[in-house]
Amino acid sequence: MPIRRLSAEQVRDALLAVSGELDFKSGGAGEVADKSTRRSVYRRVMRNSPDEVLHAFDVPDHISHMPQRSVTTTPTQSLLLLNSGWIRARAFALAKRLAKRHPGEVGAQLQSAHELALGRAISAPDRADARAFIEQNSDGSAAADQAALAEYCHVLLNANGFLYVD
Amino acid sequence: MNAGEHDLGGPLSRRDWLLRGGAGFGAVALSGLLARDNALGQAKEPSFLRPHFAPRAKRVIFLFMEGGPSQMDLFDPKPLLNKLAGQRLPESFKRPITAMGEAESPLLASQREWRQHGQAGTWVSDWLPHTAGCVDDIAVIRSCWTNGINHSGGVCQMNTGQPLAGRPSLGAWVNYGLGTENENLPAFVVMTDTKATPTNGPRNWSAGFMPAAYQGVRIHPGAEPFRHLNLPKGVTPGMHRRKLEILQRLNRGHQASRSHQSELEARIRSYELAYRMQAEAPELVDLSRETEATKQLYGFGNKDTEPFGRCCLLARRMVERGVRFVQIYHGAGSKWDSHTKMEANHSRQCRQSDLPTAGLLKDLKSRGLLDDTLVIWGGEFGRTPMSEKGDGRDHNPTGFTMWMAGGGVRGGQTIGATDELGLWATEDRLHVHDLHATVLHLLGIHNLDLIYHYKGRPENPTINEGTAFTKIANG
Repeated sequence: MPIRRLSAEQVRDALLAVSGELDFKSGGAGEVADKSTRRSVYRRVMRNSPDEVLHAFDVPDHISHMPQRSVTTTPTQSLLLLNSGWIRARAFALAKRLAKRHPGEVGAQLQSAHELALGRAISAPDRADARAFIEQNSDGSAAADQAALAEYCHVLLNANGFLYVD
Repeated sequence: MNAGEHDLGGPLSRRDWLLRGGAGFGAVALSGLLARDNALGQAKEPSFLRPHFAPRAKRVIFLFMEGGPSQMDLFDPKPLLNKLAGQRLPESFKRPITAMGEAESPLLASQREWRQHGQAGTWVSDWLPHTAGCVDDIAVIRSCWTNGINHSGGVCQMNTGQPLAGRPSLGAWVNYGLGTENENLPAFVVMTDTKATPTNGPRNWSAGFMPAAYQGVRIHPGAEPFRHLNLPKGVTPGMHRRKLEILQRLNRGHQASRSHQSELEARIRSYELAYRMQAEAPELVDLSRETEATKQLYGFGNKDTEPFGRCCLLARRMVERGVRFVQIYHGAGSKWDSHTKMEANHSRQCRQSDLPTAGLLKDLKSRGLLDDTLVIWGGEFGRTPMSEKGDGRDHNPTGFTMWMAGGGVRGGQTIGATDELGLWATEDRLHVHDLHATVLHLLGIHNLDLIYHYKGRPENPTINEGTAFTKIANG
């Protein structure tokens, strides 16, 4: 089976779903995508100011017909996923969700993080990597642990395991 | 692989080539060229990745005077206009449809003083004294015409070939056809002299129906030239590096059981490329090592000339580093649009743009870059000989001036002509499609042979029309 990259709306919706923020309300007026947590199907389309995330992942421009979408792989997408404030906000929301679900249990938080973002259990080497990363980037306080966890979650949201399905 | 899939992140893996097979070892060799010449390394090859014939120009800098400069006040003197000033357009002239319907308004005299410049004796008005000093490198084209009568249609057409939105920009076509010479920088860059957005916004540099990777990247002179280039607050370089290491390890693990999926390899490479871009782009916009003399040339230290001068100097740095197509909007947001107060408007616009434009030409020339860098100057249309609101001019799509220099263009020429009042192009008329075909010709591309298949139809940059004006070139 060839792997398939998530389409633009799926990338955005999956980011919000994993972070626990996705609003499933149906119907009603469209909203500006980067200021909303509603599903992408309810975004407001503004042709002269396209949403960065959706645009980067090849959403049609709503100007000309698009019988088949492009599926591109570009450094612009990587820079966006690595450095955009909107993407990072999803990682921080995910860390908050994990901390609430498993207070103080880093092992369980990491397990959940991998299950939510990648749909699979965390492997032993990955767990060791993740723990080392959090220790390196935290002074041991709960707040610092959660911030370091957010940085790790940010890595997961950049991973091919998140962006592609088999 | 689906027809719509494009791996734009890097060279193909060896396994991918072997799996596709069928094309033989020649294709493998071509792939090496492809990966080097076209850093975005398409998996689905464009119609070609090398020029059709020997190019004269390798790079383009398009200086877009947005809003419509007045040809009969800059490059196309019309003594009859001043003679008939105040009268209606003579009956012998065909009436054009203009944006504001000024066909019957009194003719407006040009207040300029005209002189012939250079060895060639090219006519330039006193509004452009610095450009006038470069005319022996410039081919003035007095006979341009377009279909777009308003700004949106005109700017769209000058960029994409048609007034209606939806087609790829010329820069996107060039990016698609020739790729980049520097894989750490975008191939097609757009700048504006102010923070204002040009009419139509990003549609002007969009890839239209082609993959988004071919679109222009707008760069913001300053601390973060490209969007999302800088590390977010709270992330140290060390942490960033560590995160990328973890990411690459996760991705390699994910790839292990999917080794025949070339797209995953491309994605991994796109992160490496992003990392290198983060290193290279800040150097690109760092002007601290430019000499004072160079900065003077571009008008630094003068509030009128510095904004556009900064863009022009950045453009030179970009073409030096292999950026293929640079577009700079001067007067972003239709600032050349002079429906009233022609004198005040164009005095200001010319004061801002003339010196940096000439500075760019001189600087490119002194560095040996002008030989293979094509510089284009012009707006979306020109202005009418008829007045508007007493002291302005309406849009004129039926006859206007642009110029080209460098990139194999023979300087010191004046091409084409308008009628005696500068209203209609009459000799060697060059439609936007012809202008685009000419630009592509200088880049070694035949306009009708640069093909992108869209909706089952072979599309080309000039919509099955357009003939290159080859006489513009040397030899």
